[in-house]
Parts: sequence; C-alpha cells; structure tokens
Amino acid sequence: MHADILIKNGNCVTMEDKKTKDWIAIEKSRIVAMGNGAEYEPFIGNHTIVFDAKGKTVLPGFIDSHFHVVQTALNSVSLDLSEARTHQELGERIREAYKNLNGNYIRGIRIVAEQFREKKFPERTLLDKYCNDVPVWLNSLEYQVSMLNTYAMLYFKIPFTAEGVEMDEKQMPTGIFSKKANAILRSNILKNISDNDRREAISGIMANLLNHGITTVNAMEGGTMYSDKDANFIFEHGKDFPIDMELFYQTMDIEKIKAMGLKRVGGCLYIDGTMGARTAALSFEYADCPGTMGSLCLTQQEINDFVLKCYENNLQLALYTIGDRAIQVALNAHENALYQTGITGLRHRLEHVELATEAQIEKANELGILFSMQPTYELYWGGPGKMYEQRLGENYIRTNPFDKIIQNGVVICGGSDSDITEPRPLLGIHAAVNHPVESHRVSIYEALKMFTCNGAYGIFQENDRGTLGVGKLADIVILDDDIFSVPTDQIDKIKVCVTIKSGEILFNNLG
Amino acid sequence: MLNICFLGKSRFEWDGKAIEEQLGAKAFALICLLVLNKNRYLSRDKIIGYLWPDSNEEAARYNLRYNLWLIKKHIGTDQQGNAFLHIDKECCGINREFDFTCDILDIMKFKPSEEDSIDSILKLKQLFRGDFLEGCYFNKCDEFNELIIFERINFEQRKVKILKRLVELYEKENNFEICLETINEILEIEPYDEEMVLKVLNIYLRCGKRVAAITYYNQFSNQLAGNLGIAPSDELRNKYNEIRLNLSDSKVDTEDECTKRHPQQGHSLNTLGSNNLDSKKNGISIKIVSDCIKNITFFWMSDVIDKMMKIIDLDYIQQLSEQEILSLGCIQANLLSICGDISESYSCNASIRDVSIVNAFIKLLTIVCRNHKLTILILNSQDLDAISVNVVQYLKRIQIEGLELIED
Repeated sequence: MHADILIKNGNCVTMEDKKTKDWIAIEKSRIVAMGNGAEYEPFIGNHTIVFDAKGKTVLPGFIDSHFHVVQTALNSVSLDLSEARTHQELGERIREAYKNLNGNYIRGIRIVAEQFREKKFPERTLLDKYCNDVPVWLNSLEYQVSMLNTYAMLYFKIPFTAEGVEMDEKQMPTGIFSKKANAILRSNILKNISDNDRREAISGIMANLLNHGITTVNAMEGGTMYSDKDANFIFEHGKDFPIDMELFYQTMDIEKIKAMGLKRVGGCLYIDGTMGARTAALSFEYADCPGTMGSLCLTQQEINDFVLKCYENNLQLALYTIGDRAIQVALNAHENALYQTGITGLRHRLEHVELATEAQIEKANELGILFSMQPTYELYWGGPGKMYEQRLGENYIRTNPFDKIIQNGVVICGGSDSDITEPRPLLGIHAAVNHPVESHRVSIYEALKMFTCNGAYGIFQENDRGTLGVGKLADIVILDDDIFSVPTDQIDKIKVCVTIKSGEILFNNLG
Repeated sequence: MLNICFLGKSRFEWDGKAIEEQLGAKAFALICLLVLNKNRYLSRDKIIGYLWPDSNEEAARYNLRYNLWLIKKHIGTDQQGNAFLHIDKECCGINREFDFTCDILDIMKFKPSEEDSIDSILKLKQLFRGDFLEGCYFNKCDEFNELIIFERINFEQRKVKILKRLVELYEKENNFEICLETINEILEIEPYDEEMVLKVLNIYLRCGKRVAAITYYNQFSNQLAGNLGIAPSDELRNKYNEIRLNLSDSKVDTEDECTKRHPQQGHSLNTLGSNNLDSKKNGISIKIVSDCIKNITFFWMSDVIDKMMKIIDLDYIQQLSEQEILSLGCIQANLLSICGDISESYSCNASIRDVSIVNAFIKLLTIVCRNHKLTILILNSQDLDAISVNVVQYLKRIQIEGLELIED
C-alpha cells in the first residue's frame, strides 16, 4: 500500500504516553502507519508526497479551545485603533481608513478611554471633524461602548429611548452608547451583516490560522456583545471551511440548543466581567481601585438553576469565570447539580479561570471540571508592572497557576481567546513554559498537551484527533525546529512549516 | 391637496401625484424646516445656516431662492386659493391659511386624553412608517443633521407614548390578543422594557395562559442574559414565580372580583368573591405570595398578615384575643383599622414584647389552617428579617397541619 503523504526523519511526538516515532504515513484523511527507522519505504510510491522533517518536531494539528471565529474575522477587516494616543491621532487614522474604504461604513475596534491623553471616549462631533462622508462606528475593547459619528447616527437604527444613550447639556446625543442602548445598537448593526460578509471575512483568516498550525477551533459564538447570527452561521456553514469548528453556542436558551441537536452550550456565558474593566468578581479589593471587587452577572440561585438544567439535559457546559469569586459560584452550582442529578462525565468546562485558588482547583478536579485557559494572557498582562499587577497588587502572582492546576489533576485546554490574543498556539505554549511566576511554569510537553490532546479531550474528540496514531485523523503540523532542543525562551521564534488537515496539505513552507 | 409624510421615506403628493423627484433633497429639507416651525416665519439667514452653511453668501441665497421657486412651481394653491408658502425679502414660512395634511403635524397634536378612541389612536399609529427623514443625511449641514437626530428622538418617544395609550385602551376592552401585538411593537423599539414584559405576563395570566407566560418569561430572561448578561428585575422574577407556582389566582380574584367596605372604618378590604369564600369554608386552599426586607424587623410577618387579611374571613381574626390583635397591630396597622373597637384602646406598642407578637402570629396561622390548606410563598427569602427567619424555622419545626411554606 502506498501512502498519499509520508513524513520521515521527524521527531514525531504522538502526545500519547510521551511516545515518539520517526515517520508517519497518510492515506486519504487518516494516518495509516507510523514507525521508527526505515520501515516506511514500502509506503513510498510514485505519487507519494514525501516530507523530510530532518529531525524537526512533528505534532498533532493544534486545537485552539477558545476562539471567537466570526468576531476575529470581522475584526480582521476592521480598523484597529488601540495604538492611537490622542483623539486627533484616532481621527487621522479614521480619515486614512476612509480613503481605502471597502464597504458602507468604517468599523473601528479596541478602544479604551484611558488610552487617550483626553482620558475619555471620542464624541460624535469630534468624529465628524475627521470623517463626515460615511458612517463611523467605533467599539470599545470589550464591546461595552459604541461611538458613532453624526452620519452613523442617521444611518443606523438608533435605540434613542433605551437606557445608555449619553446626552450633552443640550440634551443631544453625544454619539456614545452604553448599557441597553449599546446592546440594541450592536444587535441592529450586526444583524445586518450578511452571511456573505461573514463567509468572506472568515475565509480571509483561514490562511493565517493554518500558517500557525491550527486545525481545529472551539468556536465561541453568539450571545452577549456578539450576535446569535454568528452562531447560526457557524452551525450551518462551519463545515465549509478547511479548519474544523466545534460550535459553543453562547446562550442560556437550552430549548434552542436542544432543538439544534447540539451537545454543548456556553463559552463566554458571563459569570463575571474582566480584570481590565475591574468587573471580574474577586474575593478582595482591586489594588488600583479600593472598594471595588468586581461583580457577578447572575446570582448563585440563577446559576444553580441554569447549571442544573444543563445536567438534566446532558449538555456539556462552558461557563466564563475569571475572578475567584466567580469561579466559586460556578463550582458551587456544579456541585449542587451533580448532587441533585448524580450525572457525571459531561466534561464541563470553566473558561479563562484566571484566578483559581488551590481549594477551587481541588474541587474542580473532584467534580471532573476542565479549565479552558489562555496562557498568552500571561505574556500580555502577567509579571511585574503589567495589567495583572496593577489590578491585583501582590496577588498578581496568583494568576494562571498552570503547574498547580495540572499537579492537581485538572485538564487544561489551551486557547487564544482570539482575537483578544493572537491565534498562535506556539505563542501560547511559549507563554505557559515561560510564565512570569516561575512556580506556575509547565514543561514543554505539558504545554503541548494543552493545545493538542487536552484540546481534543475538551470536545470529546480524543479518539479522532489531538494525538498521532494509526487510524486517527491526519491533522499534523511540522515545525521548523525541534521544540525540545531550543532554549525555552526561544519557543515563540519557532514557526510551523507544514500544516496537514485531514490529509490535505494546506500550508507548506518546507518546499 | 398637498399631503406630506416625513416619517419613513419622505413623500410629497400634490393632487394625488408624487412630486418628490421634482423637488429634490434640499427642497424636502427646506419644507421640513418650515413645517417644524409652522407657527413662525424663519429668516432667510437662519434657513441658510441650516441648509447651505458652507456656501458663500451669494451662492447660498441663490440656492434658497431656487428651491423656493421649485416648491412654488410644483405646489399650487389650495381650494381657497391660498399659496403654500409665505415668502418675503427677509423671511419664509408655511402660509397658516393653506390647507394640507402632514403626518408629523398630526402626531404633534396628540395628547393622551379620556376621549381617545382606538380608531383615532390607530390612525396615528399608522403614520409611523419609519424614522423621521429616514435615509437622509446632509453633508456639512451640521445643524440640520442635529435637528433630524433631535426629531427622531422626539418622534420615537411619541410613538412609544401612542402605542402605550393603545395598549391601555385594548386592555380596557379586554382585547388581549391585539393588546399583546401592540406590546410587542413597543418591545421591538425597547426590547428590554421590563414594565411591558410584566404587562405581557399579566395578560397571559388573565387569559389563563400560564404556559405561555412561563415560556415568554424564559425567552425574555434568556435574551436578557444572552445580550446583556443580566437577570430580570426582582418584580418580574417574583411575578414569574407566582405564575410558575400557580399562586396568582387569589390575587387576581381579589383585585378583579370583589371589594367589600368595612362598615366601621370605611376601610377598603379585599376578600375573595363569595363563592370562593364559601368554598374556602369547605377547606379550600389559600395561597399567599409574601416578600421580605432584610433590615426591617417583622417585615415578612407583617406582609403575611396584610395579604391574609385581604383573603381570609374577619371571623378568623376575631378568634384572637384583644391583646393578640393589639400585638399583631404593632406590626400591621391595617389589622387595627378593621377592628375599630380594639384600636381605640391601642395607644403604644412599647409594652408589647416580641414574644407576644410571634405567639399571636402563630396562633392566627393555626386558626386559619384549621379550615384551610395555607400555602405561603416567601419571595426573596434570603432577605428575611432576623425575627422572621427564626419564626419560619420554628414554623417548619412545629409543622402546623395545613401550612406549607415555600422559599424562593
């Protein structure tokens, strides 16, 4: 039997019991043989494509366990304004964007009031000075605030009577929308994005994901600050794209999930907020805002009721929890539901889980709960002088304690939370290995597990992907170096040079 | 006859013929400006400031003259021979004598009153074909664009007001189906208006559609959680719990069916309808929805007494001793007001001890439970006041026959 593809001379890390192989034979979409030495020769035929890995690391295709697909795609065609330091700078960038506008309006993203010297969001009249020829819609970093120019105020359907329309002293809208008004406005705008636009935008990001070795994503779609149309699109069209998308529908509507025949629910189902906005629910006060401890979005009883419903319907549930107080209420709800139903084995997940205590980690292990975490957060926000320390003071050393979590037996699935951080699994692996707090660092192998076999386990796909084995899906990446040989602080320099998805070579930089 | 619509895509009809194309956008805007200022004339400078702010004076004046000519050309005189516009060297305005119809003028006249009929409100509602000057944006005309925004807010608010008036009228006529449709129109504008959602639940309840009410609440609650990450208000949640646990019937009955005036005090006392009262004597269930306030001592007990008084027969209260009624009167003054003779001897509660109040309360429950199955739903039970917490625990321990306490 000749293989379609053969990878030889590789350090093929199977991610199963630390076993390695020298070569892998692929036929159609599956791995058909693996071995050591030169036993691969019978698999080479006239039409076999042979990759000589030359001792480089070969791994299962990466699984990104927390990825906002539509949001990432739409943002990739939006104007990133995070670097603007003044309102004038922001205005100039908008003016530039207008010159190259492709579409009906300008959509700017990633704005925080504090980034500007003026320390506030830009108002309608200011935006008008730089662009009054097309509608301009700006989004705050976490999508909680929208800003419009006058044209956009007249172009989009505005919820003038809803709570959250900011008015000036003349009782005219300033163009800044928050709370219910922002939610309605976003919904009004997003629902008019056509599926064709979604398709084009998603197609546009596929190459980048494949270049970074991603073959499967957990698509967190729909719900607060997003649009249910995104989730519906992934549900209907996710299979049209080269990368596998496992939909996590961010809704509390169990009936809808059941009707769609989905086996899981959640993703960013908010139990609390974010560290950045000081809304993550902590058991202590924020260091840079005494008196503030963040808040829970739902009461314990409400969470209990919802979690119980998920158990009763045998749905895998993913809840968004960041602060230790939020993690506690989520664990309480799981414990309650487990006792009430006796149902186990659904592999429920907590997403982000940035500030779990040791007791909470132990409880999660006892309850069989997985943590879906984003190591790259530590690269962005961890360590002295960065955001975690600003918000948490000396408690910053408690964030994302990967090693402690693993030692306690909790499975960590790794993700990027794209596009909050870059969708680069090797960056996530680097971040987990080089955690700024030394005691939280993990081995390279454990970090690889987060983005391979653990990711597969998190979506009940361990029999099909996440490891290299005969009969498994041929989702494979070849790196341009041996990850176990480079200095650990150089892992982020390693690149993916080949990505094979279901037996198809979708990225090849090896020649 | 001239007919103008500014809501939705602007429409101008002269003698039944559309003349939008002949007029053009700036002429629309000019007419709109004059209609909004119908009761006064606007100076030419003011109009230019709105519509041609970036043109030099000569060009701006020419543009204004041209558009006034265009309007005059396409809109003739009415049946009385009046011209549409009053124009002189300094000012322009709508001729007050000119006979024409305009959607926004009709709407601006509306003020809710007793004389409103469903038909008249429906006519107004139909005028809302879309946003004010929908699809319009006048580049560099900042003031005029602001005026459009201002009027959009204005007419959106008026629309909600008109729809709410319509809801009231449909409710009055018990025309629930169409009432619900109208509420949904309001919710399309303000999807998180919990007052309207509460109304929907009440209407379903009045129609006996408990399942529909529960489903509706669940959908709303999911939407709120999904889109805003928040839960419904306590009021809405309490209503939902009432419906879910089927505890609302007695409330509806008391409000709708019967009001009995107490002869001695002239105090309005709600009781169940006579049929219900008779059947109650035959041991029918009584259901009470009570609420809690954490830091107000005796609040829950006071609330239970108040709600029971609206349902139970006065005989039950009169089975208490005078001292016991006075004790309960310390925490629920309404009790004293229906017991006139006793209340005269009531002066100060300083001498009444907590234990007397608690004992009297338990005795009252025991008396009621001799003839009825009494179910008390305790909403927001985490907010029970300190004494009521202990009383609830005690009641659960002693298990009075016929008494059921359900904590939310």
